[in-house]
Amino acid sequence: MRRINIVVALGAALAMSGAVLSAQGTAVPAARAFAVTSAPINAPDLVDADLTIDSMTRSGALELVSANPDRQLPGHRHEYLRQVHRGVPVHGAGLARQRQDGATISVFGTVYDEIDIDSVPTLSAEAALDRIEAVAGAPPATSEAPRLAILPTELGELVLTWSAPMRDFHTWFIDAHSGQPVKRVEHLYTESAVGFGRGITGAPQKVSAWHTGVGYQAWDRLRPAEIVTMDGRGELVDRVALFFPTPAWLEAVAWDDDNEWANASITDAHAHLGMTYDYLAQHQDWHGIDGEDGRILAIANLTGYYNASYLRPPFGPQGSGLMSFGVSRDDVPLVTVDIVGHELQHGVTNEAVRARTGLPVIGRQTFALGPSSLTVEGETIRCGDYHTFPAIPLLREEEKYAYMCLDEDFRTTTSRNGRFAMWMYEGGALHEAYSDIIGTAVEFSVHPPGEGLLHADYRVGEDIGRVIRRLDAPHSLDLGSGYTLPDSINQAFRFVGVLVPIGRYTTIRYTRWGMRGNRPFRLSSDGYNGVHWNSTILSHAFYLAIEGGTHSSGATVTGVGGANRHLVEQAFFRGLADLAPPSITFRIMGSLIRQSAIDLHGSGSAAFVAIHEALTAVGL
Amino acid sequence: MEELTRMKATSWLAAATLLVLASSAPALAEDEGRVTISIGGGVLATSSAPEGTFDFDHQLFGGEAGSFDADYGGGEASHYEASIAVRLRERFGLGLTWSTSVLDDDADIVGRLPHPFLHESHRTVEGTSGGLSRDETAVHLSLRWRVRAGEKSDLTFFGGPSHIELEYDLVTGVRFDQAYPFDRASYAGVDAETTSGDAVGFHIGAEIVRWLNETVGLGFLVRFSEASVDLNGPDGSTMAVDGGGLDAALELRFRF
Repeated sequence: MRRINIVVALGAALAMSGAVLSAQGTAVPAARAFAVTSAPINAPDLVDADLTIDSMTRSGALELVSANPDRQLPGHRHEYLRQVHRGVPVHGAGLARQRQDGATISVFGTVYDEIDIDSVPTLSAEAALDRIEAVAGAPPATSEAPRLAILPTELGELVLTWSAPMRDFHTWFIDAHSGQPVKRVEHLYTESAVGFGRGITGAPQKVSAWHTGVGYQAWDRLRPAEIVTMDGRGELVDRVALFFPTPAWLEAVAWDDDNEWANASITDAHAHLGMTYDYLAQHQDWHGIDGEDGRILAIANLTGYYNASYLRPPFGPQGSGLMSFGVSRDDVPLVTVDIVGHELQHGVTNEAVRARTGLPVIGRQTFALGPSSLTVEGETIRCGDYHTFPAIPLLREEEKYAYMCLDEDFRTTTSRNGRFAMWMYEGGALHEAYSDIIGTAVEFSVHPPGEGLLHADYRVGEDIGRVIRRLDAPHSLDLGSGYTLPDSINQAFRFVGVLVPIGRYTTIRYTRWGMRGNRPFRLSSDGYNGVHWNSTILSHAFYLAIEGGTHSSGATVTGVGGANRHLVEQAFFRGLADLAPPSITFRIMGSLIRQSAIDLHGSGSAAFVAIHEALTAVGL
Repeated sequence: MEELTRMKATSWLAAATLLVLASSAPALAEDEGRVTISIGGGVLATSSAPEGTFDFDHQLFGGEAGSFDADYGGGEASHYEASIAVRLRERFGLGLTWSTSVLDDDADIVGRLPHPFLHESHRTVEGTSGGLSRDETAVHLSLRWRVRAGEKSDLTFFGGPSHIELEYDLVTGVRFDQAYPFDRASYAGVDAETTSGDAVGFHIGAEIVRWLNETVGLGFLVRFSEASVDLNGPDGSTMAVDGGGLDAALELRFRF
């Protein structure tokens, strides 16, 4: 089988993270990113990748996590090898290798060279957990012991850390020697909080229920994976207990006495969860959230919760995650099929990668160099200035930090001649992109194409009265002041960051300042990382690969057409579920999707060409 | 039950009438006898078999109604009868016949099953269900006209009202096997309920008897009977079924 080389990045550092110096000026090891596919003309690259894997495996630096046959392609196998240093895993580092009939055909992932770090923690696991509890202000979420790992920080430093998920819905990482906090990762993936103007469709839905003898529960036992929808019955605060493992969830299962469900939120949420399950099972051969038909839990009818979200394990009433469906500011339940599909896919994105690699998708952040100053509506910030985070009563005092700028040698500087480091949360944006892509795919699987209620289109949220994203025309959606959603990586929203010291280390906090492409912007508040906005970079490529058309750059794409949308959907899904390492960026994702298209459809196929053209058009 | 009671009352009334007529009839030739009694059996070719489209419900249909076409086979039923006849004049007489027939019927079924998850997305299953019992009991009150009489044989035409009761196992729903993703289902049989009804109709026929001696003869008769019986359909509707049909029977006949 002829294969072409998509990206040869062997030995190249991604996102300059390997070149950044820490706040203390300590040199950090170089990260080597692999995005290699097999091809006769590029065989040496693949050979190098194989040799690297063999060498690191022999030395104990790579450790096999999983080896599984391909879910769809006979003769294909997938391995994931995580990087370890003196027996301690390097968080997120590892390589995903695909083999066909014993020969390696692709390698994706990141490993670090020349790690020189003490792998023996000063703190014991028990002491570490006590310390984490103190810094988090919340008890552990599980009874499991904290995990020891070498954590690459956003600035490229490697820190020996203990980590544990806590009941504040974050996994905290602390320095395994000093106990100082290094990082925290949120477990909650949310849809944008939006205000809307129209009610849900009122269309009839079937509710797969379970007859208990005295009534019916929203407990689907017809599908291979049980789907259980709980009833919020009011304010979210009354249901917070369900965010943690508790047997009380059985009492919260939505119930109806005659199986004629009157609550539109419960009805739509339950039915649309089933439809999403059906799409994944029947179109992607993926079963449930975890791929193994584990029980799916959700809660709807949360009248005081102005959002929809996915809470990933170990949270949720059974420790397996939980989807929550609230309402808009106009009390319209956020339970349309694209929104429900979006939230469930967040779980799939996590679990598909975690099942192979041992880790969910890691929220990788990258930066590009910006200008030395930004001016918006007469207000200017410059390198060397300080950003003030306003005080929040009872929570935070006013804080002031220098904007993160870099000099010519990529060292942090407060000089006026420095250039802003413009940050982008790529992992989060890819998470959102995949949720929109699958949410849209589910919508097309249950509704006929067209505009209006109960028709499938490439708009997210249209059936609740307000379009919040458009995969077909990101530029047409005005976010305010003329800023629109990006349709290429060059138009991405990037944010000016500040370096916030946490003990000996530093972390990045996003300010309200940034640039969309070459145009500066200033939001009304700090902290948003733009993941929903930047998601349209990839999701627009998904649209172009199906429908074709002319990109705003002028590039034309010959799509596969709506009748063949499944070819594109499969390639995108496989790129994530079967090939992706936990640490991904937009560009790596582009390579993964191309490789997936080759695996499934062949390098000469119309589907591959469409996908390749679409990804190229959006700059990936 | 009410129809059955009415039918029995009708039968006894007819029999009593016949006995009264027999006892009061003018004297006839003694060697030919006045009263004949016969028992016999044969086949009844049912005149019609019901068919129709009916709705049915199932707990996995999610509020949508399923439906099925049922086309019953009908056919030839085992038939038994007993009768009494009284000669009132040289060629005319009255007769009363009780008959029963039993048919092991079948039905061709085409079911349309709503999808458990999707609206307006029916699956079609097809099959044939056997073992559907069709029992028919009839009482025929006949005016008899003997057109040919001799020492050895008689030919008689007869006709008159008939009361026919039908007891039918009607299909009320379709059983099916299905598995996720439920896009297809397979036929697994039917649910059936016994329903009954009765009606008054008519019959006409002819019989020929060959007398073996003064008292005993062998007869062969052909009768067509029909009565439109309303049965309660499986979905609450009323289904008209023609009872009766063309029956042929051999009889052992006695005359007194």
